[in-house]
Amino acid sequence: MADTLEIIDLHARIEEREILKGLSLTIRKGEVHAIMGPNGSGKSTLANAIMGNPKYEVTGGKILMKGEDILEMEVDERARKGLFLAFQYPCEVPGVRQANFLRLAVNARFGRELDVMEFYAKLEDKMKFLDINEAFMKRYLNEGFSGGEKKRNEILQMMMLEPEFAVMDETDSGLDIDALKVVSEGVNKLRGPDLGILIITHYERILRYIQPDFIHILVDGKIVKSGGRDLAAHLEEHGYDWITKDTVKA
Amino acid sequence: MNAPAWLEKQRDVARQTFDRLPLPTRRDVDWQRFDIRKLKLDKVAEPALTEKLSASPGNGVIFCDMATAIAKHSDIVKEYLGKGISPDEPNKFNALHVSRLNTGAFLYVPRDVKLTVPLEILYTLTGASGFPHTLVVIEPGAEATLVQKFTGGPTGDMSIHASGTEVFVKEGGHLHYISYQNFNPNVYDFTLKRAHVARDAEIDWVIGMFGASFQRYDIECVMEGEGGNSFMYGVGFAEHNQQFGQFTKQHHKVGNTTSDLLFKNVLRDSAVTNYSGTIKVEKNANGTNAYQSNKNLVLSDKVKCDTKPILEIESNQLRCTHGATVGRLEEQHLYYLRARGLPEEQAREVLLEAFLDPVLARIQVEDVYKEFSSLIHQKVIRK
Ligand SMILES: Nc1ncnc2c1ncn2[C@@H]1O[C@H](COP(=O)(O)OP(=O)(O)OP(=O)(O)O)[C@@H](O)[C@H]1O
Ligand SMILES: [Mg+2]
Repeated sequence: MADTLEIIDLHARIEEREILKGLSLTIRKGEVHAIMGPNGSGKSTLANAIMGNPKYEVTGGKILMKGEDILEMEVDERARKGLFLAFQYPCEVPGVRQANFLRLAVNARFGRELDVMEFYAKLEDKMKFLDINEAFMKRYLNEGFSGGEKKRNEILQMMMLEPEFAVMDETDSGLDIDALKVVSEGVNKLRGPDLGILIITHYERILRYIQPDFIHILVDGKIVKSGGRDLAAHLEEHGYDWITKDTVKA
Repeated sequence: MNAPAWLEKQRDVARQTFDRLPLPTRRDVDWQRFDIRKLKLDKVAEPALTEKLSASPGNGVIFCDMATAIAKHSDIVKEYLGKGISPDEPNKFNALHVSRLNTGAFLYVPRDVKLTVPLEILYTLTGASGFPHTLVVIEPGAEATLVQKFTGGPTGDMSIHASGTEVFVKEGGHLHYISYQNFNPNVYDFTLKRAHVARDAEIDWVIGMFGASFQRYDIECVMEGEGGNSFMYGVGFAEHNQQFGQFTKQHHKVGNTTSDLLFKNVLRDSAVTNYSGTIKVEKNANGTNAYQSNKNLVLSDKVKCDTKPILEIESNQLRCTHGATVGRLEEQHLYYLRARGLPEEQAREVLLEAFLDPVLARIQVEDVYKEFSSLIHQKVIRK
């Protein structure tokens, strides 16, 4: 209980359309889960519903983090409690300087003013690890960043904020092979008994670097199959057709 | 001390102009948006304003208050004063300020002198009226940074501030000009700033509009020589019942000149802003580049925000763009910041400051940048 993120029979909709139709999933700290599924099946909807995007309406079910009902919390409270979402399309926020933003976020997350030196030392360390140029910190948040740079920046934020549960929405899309390695190393570094991870992806590739404990297949708003790593390889080869047929039969 | 005859004459012309022109009302197109009924000009109180200047850097530079300039440097002052801003312009408030002209400051930078340390003028309104005039002459090849601050104003009764800043940037000269007003409430501020930009000369402006209950700013660049540039940036933060008028003019008398302009405003509560941007390109001013952008961030349903471009273009070989937006905070931005743990209130504050930051980023003087930031921050968090 105290170390799980439990999603129980979740129903969610956007603009009057039901997207999630009774989804259940439990992630324990220390575990890495992967969700795969066709375009439009509801993966990003799940990610946003967990994070608390006000555009998505949860119409049924529960989400418990460490036993607490997070559907009752605003998005920022969820974040401060240790939930993190690496966005599929991180937005550009002109006028907000990266370093300032990170400092405010870190202060909010840890509930105290971090010493400036301490903050910059930590930041420099993570940036070096992710191979991010120092000049980036003076720039505006994500503005003019390439797709890959934005993704790397999400992982930087994740490393700075040390979440307890992280959802990563297609962090691998748009990354070249070197960036993918760097990002995966970042995630593997964070991986451990204090963090539960949910990776959303279309490709088996990232799962070779970040080996998941479980793989789930999401089709039309529901998890239709769960299994081990071999599921990903099977999908890569056969696509989703066989599952959809299977489930229709069942 | 008696004023020299030439100055007395200018004041006379201004007095006549003032008497001739009626007080604007809502029937005048430029004044439709404003309520200035509280303003009474028939009995204007004795001017009470102080000017405080940073140290003059020597090197032949003249940097002194206006009274000293008139007494000691009459020859140079006489050559420029009133030549950029005329005492008989059809502007009642300009006429008012010129008719009382005896306070203000004078900056003269001789040929090829490049000043690295910024010069600063602090004007403080200490009574019910003030009429400072700032005259700036940058001789060919010279360069300077001038920071002008307008503050003060008695709390309680209405007071009036009417001022002029008259600038000449001569061949190849360069002026970095930063100015803000942060008057107390109840001040009515009427200000005209005009720069004449010669061949290969450049002026960059950053103008902050924060205080006063009413302000009308007229800001103009007059491009008079090929290769001349003007980069004009403004930030306004209007709240409560503040009324801000911003009338800019990019006047290209000569071709192969460039003027760029960005004005950004935040409006909250029942604030009123009216931006009106004229681009005037004269007949043979071919090869003109004129760009204008006005962006407004609106935080309440009760504000009134107007923006309009006015194009008076007689040349047909030019590049000209203009655009205006009136918008609210982006939900998506708010969500992103909150998803990183920033409480909603703080996320909104950060985004407000972010909206204005691209203008502030133009300020090259670190301390002044910080001052702008802190003035804005105080307004944002309502301190
Ligand atoms: N803002 C929106 N307005 C209307 N419909 C939306 C909106 N956002 C998503 N949808 C719809 O909801 C459905 C699920 O979208 P979602 O983004 O969750 O899919 P996904 O599984 O993440 O897809 P992908 O693999 O392409 O990222 C899609 O049909 C999509 O068109
Ligand atoms: Mg998606």
